[in-house]
Amino acid sequence: MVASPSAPAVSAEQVRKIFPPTDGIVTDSAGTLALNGVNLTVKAGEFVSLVGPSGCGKSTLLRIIAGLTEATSGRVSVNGVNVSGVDTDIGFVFQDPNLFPWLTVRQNVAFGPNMRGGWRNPHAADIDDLIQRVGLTAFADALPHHLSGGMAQRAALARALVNRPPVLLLDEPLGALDAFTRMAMQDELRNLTRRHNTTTLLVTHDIDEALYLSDRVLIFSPRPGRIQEEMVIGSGFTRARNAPGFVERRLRILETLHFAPTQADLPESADHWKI
Amino acid sequence: MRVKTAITAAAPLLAAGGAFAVHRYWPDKTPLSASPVFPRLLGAVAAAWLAYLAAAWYSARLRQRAGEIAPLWAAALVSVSVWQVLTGKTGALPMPFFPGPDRVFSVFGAPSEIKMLVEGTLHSLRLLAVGFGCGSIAGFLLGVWIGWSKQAHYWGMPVLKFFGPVPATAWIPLALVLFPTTFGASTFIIGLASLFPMIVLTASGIASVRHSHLEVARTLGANQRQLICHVAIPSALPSIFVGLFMALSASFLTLIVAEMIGVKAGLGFYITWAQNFAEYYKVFAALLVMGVFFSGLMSALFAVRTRVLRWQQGVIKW
Repeated sequence: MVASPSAPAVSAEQVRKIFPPTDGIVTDSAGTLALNGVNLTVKAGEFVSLVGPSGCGKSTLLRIIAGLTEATSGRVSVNGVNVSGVDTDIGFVFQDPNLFPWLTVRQNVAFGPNMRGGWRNPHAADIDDLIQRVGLTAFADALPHHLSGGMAQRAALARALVNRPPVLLLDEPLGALDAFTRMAMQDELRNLTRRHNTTTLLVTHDIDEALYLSDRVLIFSPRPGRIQEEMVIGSGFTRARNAPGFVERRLRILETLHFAPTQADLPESADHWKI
Repeated sequence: MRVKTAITAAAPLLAAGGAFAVHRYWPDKTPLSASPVFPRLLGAVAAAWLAYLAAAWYSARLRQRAGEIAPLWAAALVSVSVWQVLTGKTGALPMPFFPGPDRVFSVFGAPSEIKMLVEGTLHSLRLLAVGFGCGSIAGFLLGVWIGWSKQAHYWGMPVLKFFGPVPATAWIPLALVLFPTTFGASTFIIGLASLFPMIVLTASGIASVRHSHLEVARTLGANQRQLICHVAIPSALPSIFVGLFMALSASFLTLIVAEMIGVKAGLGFYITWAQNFAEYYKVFAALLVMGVFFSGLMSALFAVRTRVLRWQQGVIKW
């Protein structure tokens, strides 16, 4: 299935998702409306982030694009092909690394190629190359329970990338890491996706992360989720966490999400904050 | 500290010497067995311990191990000696039901008895291998099916819940009707005994595979068969091994019951046979052989599990 070069890598039209009611938890017999008419297009090679309050359906949208969850209505296509079920053209990284504990790091990374077999199976050298690129060469034969959280997540990233998926979906992959590991991983992520021109959709709670990595940031409304605002970052943007443009954009996102400090929250005099 | 170490190292030797002295010099209530096997065994244990100590002199690992096992060996020798005092020496336990160790070990000095015990062990092993093998393989396959398929679970679980708790030995009358030979019938009963624990624990292991592992595998291109073979079964292995242990103990029990009532060979048969002649020392000898035989099989299964579940050792302690 060869997609035409002009087709968007990912497109979603009027995607709706209603979760059936669960006994005892949601008494509303109609179920829970998680996504309400979401439209989205991602160009090939673009890095797009989805931010928004918890429970707004960002992850659900990602799972629908991956084919892990079925949309109630609407149309989703990846590289011009309608999504029906899980497709290996998509790499998916979850918040939990979810490494298979009975396999070593190298065996985990080789899992995809081994399952697919045949001529698409990359050479073992490719696997080792990827392991080296995420900095785990010394741990290639280690079992997952010997890895730290950051190392496990890097192994999970290598495992998702080894199939060279044209589209990479990341569901808060760095959410559980400490701040320093997270910043280092953000740089790695950017390098890896740039290198292969991978179309990437990232769900995150971290606005700085979204601004730092993305070409475009999509801001979700609270449930039922839909895209409330779009922010194009553009290539001229300085990706430094303290650049004036960076801080200004962060504030704008916070305003959209109603988290920006209002007049009432601010102290009367700034002297309060001087030490 | 040095004195304590020396006493620990010498304890098995002292115990063996003490046991020998009791055997030789304590006056007997019932005549001592003429067989030299028991005193020679004491001598052999003492000699083996001396050799072990000599090896430990050069190896720190063996030295540490020697310190760990010395009290156990000493205690075992003291227990054997106490057993002799309670039986042959004082008659506190009545003969012929409770023979002393000298008489029990004499069985291992008689070529005809050795032949019978070896043949019995091999026969038991054959029955166990066929019954436990078939039962646990069938249980594994059915367990995977019931654990994976919702339909198989719906129809299979009620049957399991109903028949699972029925002891396999209760099926003996039916097995004797169904199978023309006692070997076939006992294989069936042993297979049945290992079948249910294997099905239940395999199915529960397969059904509790982490959903996220399956999702990851799907995004990496695994098909249905690969999900079962490469994700569900490996992650169910800890539970499957618990099932194997339960199946093995259940088949030991069933094996001996089957041999005591129908089968005309094997260790269980040997026990009943010896009992009929009131040769209780042979019963005890067969019990010792059974202990070695069964615990050997259990240890072998433990060794396999430790190796296969190497990945799990950091997660679950045992």
